[in-house]
Amino acid sequence: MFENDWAILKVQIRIALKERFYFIYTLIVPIFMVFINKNQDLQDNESLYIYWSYIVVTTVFNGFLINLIRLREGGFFKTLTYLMGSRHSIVLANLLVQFFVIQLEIFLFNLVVTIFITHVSAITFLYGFLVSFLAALLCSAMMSGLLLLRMKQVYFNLLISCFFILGIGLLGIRPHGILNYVLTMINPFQLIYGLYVVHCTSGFYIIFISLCVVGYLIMGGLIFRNISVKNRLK
Amino acid sequence: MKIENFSYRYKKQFLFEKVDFYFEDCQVNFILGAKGIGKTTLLDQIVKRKRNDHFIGFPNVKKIAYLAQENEFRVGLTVREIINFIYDLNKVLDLEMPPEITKLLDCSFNDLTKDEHKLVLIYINLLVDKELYLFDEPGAGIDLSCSKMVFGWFRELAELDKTVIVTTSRLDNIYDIDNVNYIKNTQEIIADNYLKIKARMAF
Repeated sequence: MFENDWAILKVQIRIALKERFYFIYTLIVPIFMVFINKNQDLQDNESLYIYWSYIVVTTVFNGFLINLIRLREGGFFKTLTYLMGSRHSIVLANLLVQFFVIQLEIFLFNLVVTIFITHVSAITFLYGFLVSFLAALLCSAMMSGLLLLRMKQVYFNLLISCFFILGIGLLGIRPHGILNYVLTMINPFQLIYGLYVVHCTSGFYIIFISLCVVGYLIMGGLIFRNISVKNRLK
Repeated sequence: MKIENFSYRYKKQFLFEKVDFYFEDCQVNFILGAKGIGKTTLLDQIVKRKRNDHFIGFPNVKKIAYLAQENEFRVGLTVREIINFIYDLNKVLDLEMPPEITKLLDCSFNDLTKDEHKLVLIYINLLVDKELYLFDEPGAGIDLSCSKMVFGWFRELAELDKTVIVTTSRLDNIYDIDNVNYIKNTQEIIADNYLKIKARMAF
């Protein structure tokens, strides 16, 4: 009954493990940064969450989203959809592989931190493991909006680059007040960070994050449900 | 299978206006026409989940294989790994592997030439067990001997009681007895065997 889903999941895992290049900036870069910053900002778990947020967003983007966009723009999404009999199996397999990759990366990151920098408690390991499922899902849903863009490939690449540089830059300034709410809504790095730190924040911020989570999950669900097999970038 | 009284507009202009198409079951059928005339659009309409009443006798979308024309996708798997993925799917045909594919098994999909890349994609589409197979310009961009071999594969598929629909803008690889739907213009489709089409194409 689920042979096709299992088959696509296996092949996606194989592809993810073969394409190791993106691990450089999704895992090696944050490890490198944590070593650089180890003396100044690793006194609490909240500092770890910034790195986790970076890992989740860059992995979802470089793995899940770019994979889907490459499949679709290369024309293979259409072919694969009719081979499999369902486009949703392909999206779901991609998402499950991202869960696996993100969990692996966050675990390795925490392990490096606990061995070389500062002790990370078992509770933090467990918290990272559990919340990262929701974080990966939320990030995929939020960034699914990019699948709707219809523009030239070159402009798309430019937009994505600016989006990332700005996103990381704005996360680094640790905004407060109204700016924090605005950035949480539009910046995936800030939103995922907000999700990780939600247990250390005020009641209103928890409601706000919950609304964002529900809103983006509904949006992502609708976009993935109606995902087009036709290419959109020119 | 047939399409009756079919109209389709793209950007306010008719691509097809009240035209009919006819496809023979368990045969290789051709949709012949100039580039940009609407062949891909027609295939896209055939594989639509909710077709309208103009489409008669077509199987459910899940029973259709469709190889799109643009397939620039590259992945770091070997050809063997890709074919094994197809074998893992729930319904696969027991076809003998052509030597042209066997020799590529250990090659990385990324390293294949354009012809080899297309051959592998066509072959994996033949492997899945479906009722109807759609190929959008399978002969485009590959050399003549390769395309001849590919059309040989299609004919073998038809011998297994499968229906194949191929779009093409080239006349090679079409036999005189083949069923051809020639898109002459937005309002005129000539559906007949190729011998008769050839006679009418002149006028």
